[in-house]
Amino acid sequence: MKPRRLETFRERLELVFEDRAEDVLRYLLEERPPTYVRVNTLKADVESVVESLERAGVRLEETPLPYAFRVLEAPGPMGSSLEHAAGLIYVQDLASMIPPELLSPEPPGPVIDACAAPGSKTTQLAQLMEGRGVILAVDVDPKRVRSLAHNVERMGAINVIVAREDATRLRVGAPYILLDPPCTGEGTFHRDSHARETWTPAKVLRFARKQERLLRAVVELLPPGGRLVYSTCTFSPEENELVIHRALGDDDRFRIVDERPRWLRRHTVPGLTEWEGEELRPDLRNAFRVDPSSLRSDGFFIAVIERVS
Amino acid sequence: MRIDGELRAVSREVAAALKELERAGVNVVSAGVRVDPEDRPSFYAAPFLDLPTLELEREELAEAIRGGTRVRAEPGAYKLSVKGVAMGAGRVGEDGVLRVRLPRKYARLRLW
Repeated sequence: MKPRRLETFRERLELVFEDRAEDVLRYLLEERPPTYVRVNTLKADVESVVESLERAGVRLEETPLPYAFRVLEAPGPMGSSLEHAAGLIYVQDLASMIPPELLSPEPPGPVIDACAAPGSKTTQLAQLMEGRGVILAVDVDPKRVRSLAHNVERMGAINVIVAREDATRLRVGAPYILLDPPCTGEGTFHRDSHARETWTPAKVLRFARKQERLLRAVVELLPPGGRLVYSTCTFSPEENELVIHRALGDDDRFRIVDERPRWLRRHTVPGLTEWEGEELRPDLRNAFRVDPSSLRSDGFFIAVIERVS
Repeated sequence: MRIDGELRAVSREVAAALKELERAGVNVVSAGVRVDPEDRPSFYAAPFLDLPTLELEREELAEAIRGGTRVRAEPGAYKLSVKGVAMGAGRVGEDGVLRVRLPRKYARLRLW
């Protein structure tokens, strides 16, 4: 990252992470990202998959999620393991497993995953639903839809329907919606050099426009009592709080709720309720950012939005 | 159920939802998991078919995915297992070679 852009990025991090900002920056720029795997409980129980990996020479460390493990040592890339080819595991960052956990869908759903490719969260939702009910996994990009459909097959997710569709054009409702739109990926700078090297404040604004358009559309698919999780792997307020603030305004049909599990709290900072002199929805304080240097993961922004009954 | 001529394993609710999505004009690409005929099952069809189990060493399954491996088994379709963990489905041909149906990219990987 060029020195001037780095300085801008650092200043912006300080505004959202305050005294954690230096640790976050150091982690994103200097540390090797850890690898996590999610055991696919649609196909096998956690214990037998862990034993299978350990027999092959993998050393794993438990995480707060019973089906997720940090890989400490492996004979090769986890994506080349037989367990991966067989759909017994998905290589997925720990922080990226949090949005489906917070959506917490119950069968029969239905669930809409509005920007679903390549399918990590879709297939996690499928396992949280134990293969029952319906998940409509939507993505607009034909190439990415192919990879989504393959991952759904690989993971044995019989409760997933894959559609190539612009989520803003959907006209079907669902009580559970996950919106994890494309973003600048600031929370993945430690493993995505392209995201790091192409980051600019202008790119942030380009993504923010798309994200707002998506949220405005999909939030209307939520019936009273329904729940939407908005998540990104980026920190920019323009792509997060401002998207929500502009899409929802002061509409009191919706409220942002704090659903962080106890184990996660110390790894997070609350959402902003003010940015560059603009007052935002007060309930945005219930949204949060995952501090990647604390959780040893990617960085994420997550908001749980409920439509009042 | 059959979707576009393919036999696919889907949840009960998916079958009903597909009709609703069709009415809503949603461009459905696929649903659930492709099973294929029982005598030539796709690798991922294993959980949905009642097949005899063929126990393999890790390296044998990797070779089968890379293109094929000779095994001591009667010709036919099998559920493939490594140390008791079901991995997928495959077929032993008349030539005694076990082959699996997976996207080609897996044949190029250095599987372990």
